[in-house]
Amino acid sequence: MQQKTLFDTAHGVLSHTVLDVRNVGVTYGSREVMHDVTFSVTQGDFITIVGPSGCGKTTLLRAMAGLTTPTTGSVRFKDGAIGEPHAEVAVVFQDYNRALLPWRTVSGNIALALEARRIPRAEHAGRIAALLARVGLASYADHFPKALSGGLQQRVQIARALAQEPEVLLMDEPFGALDAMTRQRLQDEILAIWGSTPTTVVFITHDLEEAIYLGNRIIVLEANPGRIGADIRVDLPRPRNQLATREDERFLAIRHRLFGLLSSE
Amino acid sequence: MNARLAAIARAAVLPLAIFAVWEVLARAHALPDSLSRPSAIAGALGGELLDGSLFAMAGQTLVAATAGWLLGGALAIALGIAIGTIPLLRITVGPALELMRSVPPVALIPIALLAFGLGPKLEILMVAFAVFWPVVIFTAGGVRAIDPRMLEVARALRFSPLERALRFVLPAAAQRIAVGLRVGAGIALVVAVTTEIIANPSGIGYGIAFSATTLRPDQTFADLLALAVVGFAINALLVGGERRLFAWANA
Amino acid sequence: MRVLPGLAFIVAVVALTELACDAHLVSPAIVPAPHDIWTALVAGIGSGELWAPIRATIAHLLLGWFAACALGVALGALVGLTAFGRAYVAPTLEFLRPLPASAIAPVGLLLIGRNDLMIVAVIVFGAIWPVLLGSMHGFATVEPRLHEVSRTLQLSPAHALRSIAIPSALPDIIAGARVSIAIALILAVVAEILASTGGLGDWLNLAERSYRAPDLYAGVLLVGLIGVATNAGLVRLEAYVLRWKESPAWQ
Repeated sequence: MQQKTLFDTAHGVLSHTVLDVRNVGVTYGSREVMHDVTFSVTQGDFITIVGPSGCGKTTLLRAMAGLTTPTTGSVRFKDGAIGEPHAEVAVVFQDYNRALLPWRTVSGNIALALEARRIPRAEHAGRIAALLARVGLASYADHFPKALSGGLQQRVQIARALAQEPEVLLMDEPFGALDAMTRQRLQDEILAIWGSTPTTVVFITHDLEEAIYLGNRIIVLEANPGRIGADIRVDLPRPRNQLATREDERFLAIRHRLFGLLSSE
Repeated sequence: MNARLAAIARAAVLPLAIFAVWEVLARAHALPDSLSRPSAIAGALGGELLDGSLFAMAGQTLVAATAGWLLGGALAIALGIAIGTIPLLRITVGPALELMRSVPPVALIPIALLAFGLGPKLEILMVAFAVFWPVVIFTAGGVRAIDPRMLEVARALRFSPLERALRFVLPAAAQRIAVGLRVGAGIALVVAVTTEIIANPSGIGYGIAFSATTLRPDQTFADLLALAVVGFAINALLVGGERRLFAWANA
Repeated sequence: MRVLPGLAFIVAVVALTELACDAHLVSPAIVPAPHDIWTALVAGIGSGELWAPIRATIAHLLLGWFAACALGVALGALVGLTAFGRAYVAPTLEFLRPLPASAIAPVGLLLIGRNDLMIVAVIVFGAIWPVLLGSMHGFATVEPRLHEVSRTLQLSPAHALRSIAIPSALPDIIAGARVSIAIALILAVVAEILASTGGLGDWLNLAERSYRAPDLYAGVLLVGLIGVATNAGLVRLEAYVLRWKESPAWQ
């Protein structure tokens, strides 16, 4: 907890870079989808990336995940360039119903990450139980994904991502397909998870308020082609509160600013 | 256009490669004589095309298959409509139909042989029997899926049962019936050929069996290839036809 | 209770047939009296005369079907999972699909001769198609998102095959296997008729030639029984393997 406040207020002076996005550009055929995006992700950050549809948010995340290679520029993770997915970078997709294995139970889905890391079978039960407790799924261990609501399914995906014990957690509009109330609950949950682990989170969203609520830093992408419009520090106090924080005048100020930036499209 | 040609070219690579290797190995006497070789097969095929025997055989098979398909299909549609609209009939006859359905038609060929002897009648009736099952099931299913209110309206308007069947039930269940008929058509060809192989001395199936038993491998493979083409063509026709006829439903 | 009308209908048909036979309305050479069929069945099984053909057919069926499934899944994986396979091999397989499988039987006779190997080989060649195509389709339609999940989790190719590709393709594979076993039974009968070396097909053929109608019908019943039993078994298996697909309770 001490660590988080330091990073938040000291603007990352004492921290080190985990992900370095350098001059990333993506062109499909003759269409330039992303142009010269550069920023660094500091350890312990909770960065939200927000922008209108078509600004390439997902393209950027996929490049950061190593799922696609940018046409120009590179993404570097600590030691070297990311060309393929990195073991320390976990991804949570928006379409949870397609990202989970329907033929495995909740426990089985989480176990997949442990199996991939060659963690001994004997340790699985303990680790899975701990992860389920962290995301609030303890009573759903033996359910199949199809029997769960959207919010619960997304928690399973998050638990699976956490099972990787990643340095960086990339999340692609993870709450976009959920209803407002579930979304708010999961927002607080992801903040709690981030607060209790040394994980860095990069969170993509199209929801302005979500971006401000969650992050300590907001990267605004403009569209056609995708490029950085602004890089905003968020100084709101933690822990965040759905009512108090959203009514804070600093929150509203940032909201005004984002609105202005994005509606001039 | 280019993409399509490229796809066809890619598709042809494997068969051409197999034929080439086959030819070379056969000429080097590395293969048993019973396997023949592509050049001999092509020759046999050409011969059959030129003297019209291939068309005669194919014609016999197709005529028998079509006749059986029409006969079985018509009976099945009639019974299917009856079963679909009269619940008591469905409950009574249903289990018996399920039982009959699970007997493979081929097992009944010997019985049909006893009853009808060799000849086209045997084949047509076998095909009709085999086609009957999918068509009756799809028809009954299609009829049962009709909105009952529409049928009530028809009854209220005092249409006779026959008129109700023709004017209301049939058009509404048409798409499901068409699917059943398509499945039936596929079965028709298979059963026709199987009957020819075992019993009826006419058609491509008989051609293949005859060539095999008289130890003419080149002719056997030639007829087999011809059958593959016929089967492929019919399947393509059916799929395309159904798609076009019911484009409005699938849109 | 719901079974009653259906059962009653079947009993009625059997009873009417018995009466018709007694009254000599039908020729016993074509439609034997049900009680004669029953006698033939019991006598055949009791004396052991029917056991050998039953065992032979079941052996051919299961051996051929297992081999067809194993080969079908392996080939289907190779073709469905690789872009090369989909572009170069799949089209040839699609072309061969509508070929009536029974046409392979005479070819098998030509190449292998009259023996058990020929029968099993014919079954494998014909029964492989539904499993192969189902497997191909299953492997080719694995959810692309899961492919990305596999990459981000850093699953080894073998692990991904085991835990993602195969479970994903399993429903299609099993659906294919169900059709496959039905085809396997048909081909077993056809091949046994042509080979004349034993099995129920041979039994049916011999019974027909010597006008032993009760024996013939008894054999047909057994073939139907085998078909029903194998299908029921696979339906059970399918339900067990796919139990994760049941619709969610909360929806």
